[in-house]
Amino acid sequence: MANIAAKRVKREIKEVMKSEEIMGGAFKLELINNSWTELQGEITGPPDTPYESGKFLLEIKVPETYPFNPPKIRFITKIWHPNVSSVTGAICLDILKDQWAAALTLRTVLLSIQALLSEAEPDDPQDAVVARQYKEYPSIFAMTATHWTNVYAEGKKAIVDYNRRVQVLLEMGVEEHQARVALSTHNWNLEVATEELFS
Amino acid sequence: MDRSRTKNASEGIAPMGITALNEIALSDQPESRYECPVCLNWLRDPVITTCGHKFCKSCITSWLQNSGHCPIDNINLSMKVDIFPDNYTKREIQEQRMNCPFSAKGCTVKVTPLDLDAHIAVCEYNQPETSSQPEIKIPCSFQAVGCKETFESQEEMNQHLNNDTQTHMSYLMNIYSEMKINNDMSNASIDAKEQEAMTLWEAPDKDGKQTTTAPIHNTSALIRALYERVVVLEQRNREQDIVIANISKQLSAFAVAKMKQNNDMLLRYCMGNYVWKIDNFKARLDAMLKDHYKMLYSPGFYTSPNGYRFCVRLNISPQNPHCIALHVHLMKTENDDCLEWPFNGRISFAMINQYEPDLTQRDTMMSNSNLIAFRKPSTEICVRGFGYTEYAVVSEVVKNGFVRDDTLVIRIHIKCV
Repeated sequence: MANIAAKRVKREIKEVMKSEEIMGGAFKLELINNSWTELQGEITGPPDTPYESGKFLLEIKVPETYPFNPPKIRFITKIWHPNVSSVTGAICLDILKDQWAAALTLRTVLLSIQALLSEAEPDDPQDAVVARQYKEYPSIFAMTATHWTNVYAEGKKAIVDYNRRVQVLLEMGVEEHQARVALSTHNWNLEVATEELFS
Repeated sequence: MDRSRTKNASEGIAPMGITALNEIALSDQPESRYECPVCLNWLRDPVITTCGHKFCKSCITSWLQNSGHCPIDNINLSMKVDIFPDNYTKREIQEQRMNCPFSAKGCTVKVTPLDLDAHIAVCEYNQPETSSQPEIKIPCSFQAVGCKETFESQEEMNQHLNNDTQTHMSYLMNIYSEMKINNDMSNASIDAKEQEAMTLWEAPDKDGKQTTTAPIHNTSALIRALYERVVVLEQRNREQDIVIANISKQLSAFAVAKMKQNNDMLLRYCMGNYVWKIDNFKARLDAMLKDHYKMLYSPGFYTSPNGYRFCVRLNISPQNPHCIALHVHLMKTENDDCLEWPFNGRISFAMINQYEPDLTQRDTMMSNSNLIAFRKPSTEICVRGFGYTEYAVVSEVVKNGFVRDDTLVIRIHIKCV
């Protein structure tokens, strides 16, 4: 790894470790290997959002050209969000792409991602299905995101009705995540989801 | 969310990284006004932008190679017109003096922040902890199972052994469970091998189709596999028995053939000197006494390998049932056309007295060329024989020691003249 990148990651981690976000539990940052190229982040879902109390793991890969190029970050924890792929966890965030600036740090990036959870950008979506639901059925979107947070990110708020519908498909022999994706995609319409799964 | 949890988590996932972080001595974080926002280090050859931000010259140069904006506020920047050397800041940084981070160990060097990293790299006090403490430490006797404690003295270690029994027990437990897992795994692999071996014994399908070698999961399947194996082996056993029986038949046939060949050789190469041993004599004699037409014939023997062939006939004399008759008969050979006819030679009988050889009965006769018996035989055995119609008295033969072990021995010698 290029000297400047390694040095910077070291400094950043040192900085993050004593930052108020770490102290306040807003996020975590951990090294995965000893070469400073792979880290794991964890952000807590912001209050008053569907992601509240959820713990979302992030895969962070620091390129050799860092900080002249942005780190590669994706969600490991499954999340229902217009700017995050529900399949791959890829994040659509301008500062991770063309708007990256060398003065940005892992800490500011994590804060930006956290902010993205508070305020989605449905007009620049990563997941078109989620973005459409966000725009057309905001309440269903909110409940779906809450449900996903509950199931995949230890979110405390459960959507009983959605759990029940997933259970119905489970009893029909559908794999759980597949069932959840089908239902989420079709605004929790059990008939349409069933039809899609068995067609 | 509490602090201790955060700390534990980071130590749990990457203890190496965190330790490394602590071990690597970094110069102190500069004040933000002296810090380059790109490398987060002290500004080196600082430059200032038209938007009022300071960077190391090399950092902003690298950045602007791929971007036309300020790394901080995204304002358009051009390397040529928007970047100026900030010699004021440069001078301020150079006037700073910093203590070496190893000053606690005795380093008295003071350098500018820019030179600090270079000094740290060569600082004589920047040595691993262990080498700076010359006294030899005693490792804990539970080192092998993972205890990392070291001690100045044996007493210290004894104290540690007393105090940390629980810790050592948990180390041992970890090692034990690891070993158990490994053991289980190797057992599992043995099981797999066993099954593999078992499938080799799977009875072949009658249609010759490959039977699916499903892994054997339970005892009943194992028993089934073993039973099939037994059936296959029994079948094979039977096949082997048949093969063995056939071979032994062949072998005895071969032995008979061999014996016959041996006898044939003896008969052909005896040079007219044949010893006729009539075993089971009493029974044969009785049979002949009962039925006078019964006769004993010796095998045919040759006077020389390609010479005349004779056999000997012994029977009860037709004229006198108390006597036995003894004759020679010429037999056909493949070489008869090469021989001179009639046969001309001397024929000697010797009935061996097996108890007193001196009392052996010897008789010699000369051939008579006028007799049919010495002409070239036209049948397998010449119907006419030549010899004595009253050769010996039956009762005397038995009584006077000519029969021993129920065997009568007559030596015949035929010599061409």
